[in-house]
Amino acid sequence: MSQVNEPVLSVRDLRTVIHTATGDAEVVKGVSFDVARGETLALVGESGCGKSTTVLSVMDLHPRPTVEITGGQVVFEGVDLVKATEQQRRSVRGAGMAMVYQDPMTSLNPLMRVGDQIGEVVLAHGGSAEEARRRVGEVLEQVGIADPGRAARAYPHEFSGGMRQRVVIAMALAMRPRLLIADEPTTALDVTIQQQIIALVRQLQADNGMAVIWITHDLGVVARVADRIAIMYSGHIVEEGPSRRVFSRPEHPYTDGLIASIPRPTGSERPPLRLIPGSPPDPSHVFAGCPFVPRCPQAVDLCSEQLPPITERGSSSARCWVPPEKWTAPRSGGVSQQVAQ
Amino acid sequence: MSTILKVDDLTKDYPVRGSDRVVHAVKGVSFELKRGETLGIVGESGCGKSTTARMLVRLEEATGGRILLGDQDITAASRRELRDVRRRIQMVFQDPYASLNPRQPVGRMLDEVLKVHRLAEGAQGRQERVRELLSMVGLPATYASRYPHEMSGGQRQRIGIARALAVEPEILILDEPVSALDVSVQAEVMNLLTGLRDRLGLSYVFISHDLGMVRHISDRIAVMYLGRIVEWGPWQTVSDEPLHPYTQALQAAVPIADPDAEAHREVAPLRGEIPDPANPPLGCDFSPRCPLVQPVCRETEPELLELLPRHLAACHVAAGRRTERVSS
Ligand SMILES: Nc1ncnc2c1ncn2[C@@H]1O[C@H](COP(=O)(O)OP(=O)(O)OP(=O)(O)O)[C@@H](O)[C@H]1O
Ligand SMILES: Nc1ncnc2c1ncn2[C@@H]1O[C@H](COP(=O)(O)OP(=O)(O)OP(=O)(O)O)[C@@H](O)[C@H]1O
Ligand SMILES: [Mg+2]
Ligand SMILES: [Mg+2]
Repeated sequence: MSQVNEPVLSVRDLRTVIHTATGDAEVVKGVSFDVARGETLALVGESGCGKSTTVLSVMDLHPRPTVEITGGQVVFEGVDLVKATEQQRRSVRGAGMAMVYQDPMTSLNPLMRVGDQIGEVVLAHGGSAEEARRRVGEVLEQVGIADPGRAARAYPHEFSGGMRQRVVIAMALAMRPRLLIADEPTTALDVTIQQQIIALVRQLQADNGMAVIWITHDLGVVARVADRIAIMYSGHIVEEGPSRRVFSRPEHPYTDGLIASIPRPTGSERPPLRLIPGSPPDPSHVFAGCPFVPRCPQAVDLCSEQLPPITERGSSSARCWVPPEKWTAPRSGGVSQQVAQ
Repeated sequence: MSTILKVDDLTKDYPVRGSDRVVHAVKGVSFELKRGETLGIVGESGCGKSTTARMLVRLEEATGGRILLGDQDITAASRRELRDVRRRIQMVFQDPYASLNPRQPVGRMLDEVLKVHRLAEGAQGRQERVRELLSMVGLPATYASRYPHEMSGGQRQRIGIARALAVEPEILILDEPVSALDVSVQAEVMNLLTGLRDRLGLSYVFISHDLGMVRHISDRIAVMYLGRIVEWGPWQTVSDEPLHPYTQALQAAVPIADPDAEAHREVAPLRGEIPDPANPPLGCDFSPRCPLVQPVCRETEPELLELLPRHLAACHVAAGRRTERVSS
């Protein structure tokens, strides 16, 4: 799909703790992943598993007073941002990497014209007023807005949800970031609008080799956008690998269960859905062993005693004591087999 | 199979605040539901799915049209008649949390429903029935003493379903019943719904924006766009071989969880967005976005016609193709 080379971003053993009234909770528990130039990494997982906290930690190292990075490295283009000076970080934020959220209004000021908001990003990174004006027109055009001049003078409320998300993407593009982090950017949009936004981001990547981290819980979106997939569960990345391999031969029972739980998209057979018993744990819950044990059909005794290490195989990795060839319970067999049946 | 619910030319207009315009939220929707059947209604946000659902249980007054439950018109039912209607049709909502009282254990909530409708003999009888309802939705009897916040999203949705089942209805209107749930939990609730339907002989109107879920559970599928049903027919042909260009675009836009299948599906996204329902276009509502648009589409509103056996679509182009096939 895309050329893979040196990682733009390399995250190693990242740990993030959230301080709450009822105590501290480690919600990112030693997460590692790489994203290469031009590549899309999908960060997948169910509600509360720590996806947003992971990317917030990467993007903005001290997002809120209640959120604290307690360990690990966030290496962006060779510089470890955890150890970097505040000035180094500021220049990376917005210029090196930029973020798009699920709700476009998180990033937009309702009282400010769209063009001024985008221009402000350029000015904040030392651009001139003339540069800012030119860049506003360029990025609005890049995201497929028909009349960039008019759009620049409009306020956010004058746009539909889909158009607002385009504006937010335009703003993220203002400084030509090498990495775009998109946190559920299409979850609030209709599928036909989602399709437009996916096509847009892909086009931008093809044009300028931008890397993308795309957070979603929708396996369909993953299959459409991702080169590589990282599956999160309860603060851990439990499986990581090339998209095709993860879908066709999942190596973690959770991934296998997720794929089996969605309805078949074609064919005249509609068997009952396979399900993962129970529900995802609260991330403040501390497990002695693997957090998936209570729901895992493949678990052995060891699983509830000790957290499995990350096992690497080729360009893939999984955090599981039981390799797929030793699974005893039936498995989904991967998505292609499911579709073919 | 006999028809249990018949909806005839149902409309709903909402006034636009501070102006004399109206939002045409539902525009002449007609369908029928057979006993034991599941009708899926699919469409994007604002197309009128929830408004239709709420009119079916009279949480919303219809502006026009009729809803016949047997030979009784729900839109004209008196308050007393409505009680009987509600015993026969129940609704399950999207957000299980918002539809439950946070300060009441779920067992007591079910008990009250039984009391109001005088559905079981005495406290003992009701307790028995609460236990039975919980077991029907796959929850242990001990859950009766739990509060909604002590349950997961999937468990709360089970309680929402148990509450609807308490009155022994014939029809459930399910408005996005799994949309707020995690992927792994959706499967559980979908299986529960299909199991209950088959065991209790229930009829469903299953509403969702998720074509995959609608495809999984429905016998027939109706596709809505801007307040109208634009296509209606057997589940597999509507979802896999749709006649209407909007359904075709919707189907192409839904990503398939299979990278190999996706790689072979380079389809151009549908252009534009859904028009303002207070200011719909002339002719066909879909004409501004339609890749197959013809001059007639911008002038005349297409009728919902039976283009294939039991398969209806409201499209000039699809109807034209059909005529060509018949005459050649
Ligand atoms: N500021 C905060 N205060 C307290 N708890 C928090 C805070 N931010 C996140 N959490 C908790 O940390 C956990 C991880 O949250 P996070 O938002 O990263 O999950 P997520 O994977 O992005 O979920 P979703 O799919 O729902 O967006 C959750 O249990 C959440 O409730
Ligand atoms: N109480 C109301 N007052 C005014 N307009 C309303 C009201 N309820 C709904 N509408 C409008 O009616 C149209 C249909 O809304 P409805 O909620 O039925 O759509 P829906 O298909 O259920 O959408 P969603 O997928 O977002 O739930 C929309 O344009 C909506 O804005
Ligand atoms: Mg999140
Ligand atoms: Mg709705």
